[in-house]
Amino acid sequence: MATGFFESPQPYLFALYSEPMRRFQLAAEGHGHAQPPEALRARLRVAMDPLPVWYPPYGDDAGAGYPLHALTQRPMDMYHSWGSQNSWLRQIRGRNFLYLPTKVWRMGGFAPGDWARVTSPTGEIKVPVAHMAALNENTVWTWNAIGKRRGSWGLDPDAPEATKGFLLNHLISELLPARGDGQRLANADPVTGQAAWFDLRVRVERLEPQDAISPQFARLGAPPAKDRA
Amino acid sequence: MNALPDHCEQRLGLVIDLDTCVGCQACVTACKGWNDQGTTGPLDDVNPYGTAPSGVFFNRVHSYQVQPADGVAEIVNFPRSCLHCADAPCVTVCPTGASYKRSADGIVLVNEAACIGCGLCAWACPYGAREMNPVRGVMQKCTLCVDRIYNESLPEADREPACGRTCPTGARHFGDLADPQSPVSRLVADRGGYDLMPEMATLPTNQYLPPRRKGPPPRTSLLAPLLDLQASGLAGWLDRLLGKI
Repeated sequence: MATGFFESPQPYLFALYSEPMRRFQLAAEGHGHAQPPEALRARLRVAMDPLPVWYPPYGDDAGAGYPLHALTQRPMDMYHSWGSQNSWLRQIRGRNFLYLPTKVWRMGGFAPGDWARVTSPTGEIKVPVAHMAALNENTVWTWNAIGKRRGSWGLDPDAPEATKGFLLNHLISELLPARGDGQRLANADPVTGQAAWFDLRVRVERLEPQDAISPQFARLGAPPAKDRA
Repeated sequence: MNALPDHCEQRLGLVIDLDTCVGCQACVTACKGWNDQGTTGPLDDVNPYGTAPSGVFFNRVHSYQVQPADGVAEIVNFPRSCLHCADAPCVTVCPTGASYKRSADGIVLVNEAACIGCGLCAWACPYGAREMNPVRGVMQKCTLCVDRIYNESLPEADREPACGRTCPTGARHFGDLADPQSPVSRLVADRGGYDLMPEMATLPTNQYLPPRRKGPPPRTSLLAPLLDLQASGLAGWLDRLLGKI
């Protein structure tokens, strides 16, 4: 009876070479009718390598002085929800914490209930934190998509999603750093389209418990003809 | 008050694998999605958009951090639902007979029409598996998707509890635990499946498979025998040629 993806240690075969990626790269090299804009040609040639490749993340230079990597993961329960977003999903996960590895937790003098100021080259947030031992010592993470602006989603303005839930978006630049020609590209991975794809760098400092996360924005008004207040 | 059946022809239940469960909550959402809209619904919620929402879930998954003294830190995910016990204290404690256990398949159910919402069964259940409906004032619980498993209008593959049907890692197995030759019984025997809280003498039908012990990472790759394969003949010639470029 199957008890997982694999029953025993065995080779896991996967394709190292991606032909669709090579086709994009060939276009960047000048082959074929469909050609990328000149301004993107060099970037596509690097990014669309059909073999596994590593190059420094585009925001890496600005990350000096920010020793931790920050990641988010969308809660799986949101993907699994039948049909659509059910209101009861928030009972499964209605608030989030920034999880800190043991080394950061100890060196920062954190205790249960503490908050932290999290700073990146782009911005700063104040959020609740929690200790997670099963985490590598250079990474902090949190659940994505829990934080909601006050008044959004039809939630009570004091709902935990608005007061204690948070996003890392305020730490992430919308644009990549300027280049010589002045053009600013969206901070999105050219292959996956993901923003801040494993390149967000932060530092954290301990804070006393706060009343609400920061930054806060004005409460969203009710949609027309649907004023709940 | 109902007596428990002397004998159940089948003991239908779940075998839950704590080794492969990743805590993704797919079973939780599938369970509430099915049962909220099915014959057992609604699974009401209170203040669903408010500051402290609460509601009925037949199945919940709790995630725990474990730091063994001599090993790597782990997350253990623990799914929790009715265990359909052979000696179910929730049945014998019920003053109106609303709570009962079926002799044919061992499923424990609540007849909501007879339930007065006194909550005694929730006190009697050591597993916290009973769920008081806060709107209708009746007790609800996992039905083992009794409206799926015998439902001939569903494709055969779907005639299992919604939680097991949806589990992406194959961590929930449904079957007859009275039959020692059934796949679920063999799985329990092979993997050291165990009763939750056996000291409570409830004789639960559902079984849990323990997480496999995670020692230090192996010094050599498990795939080592496959890593030093030497190509010969034409493949060997190609391998040498490609190695030069």
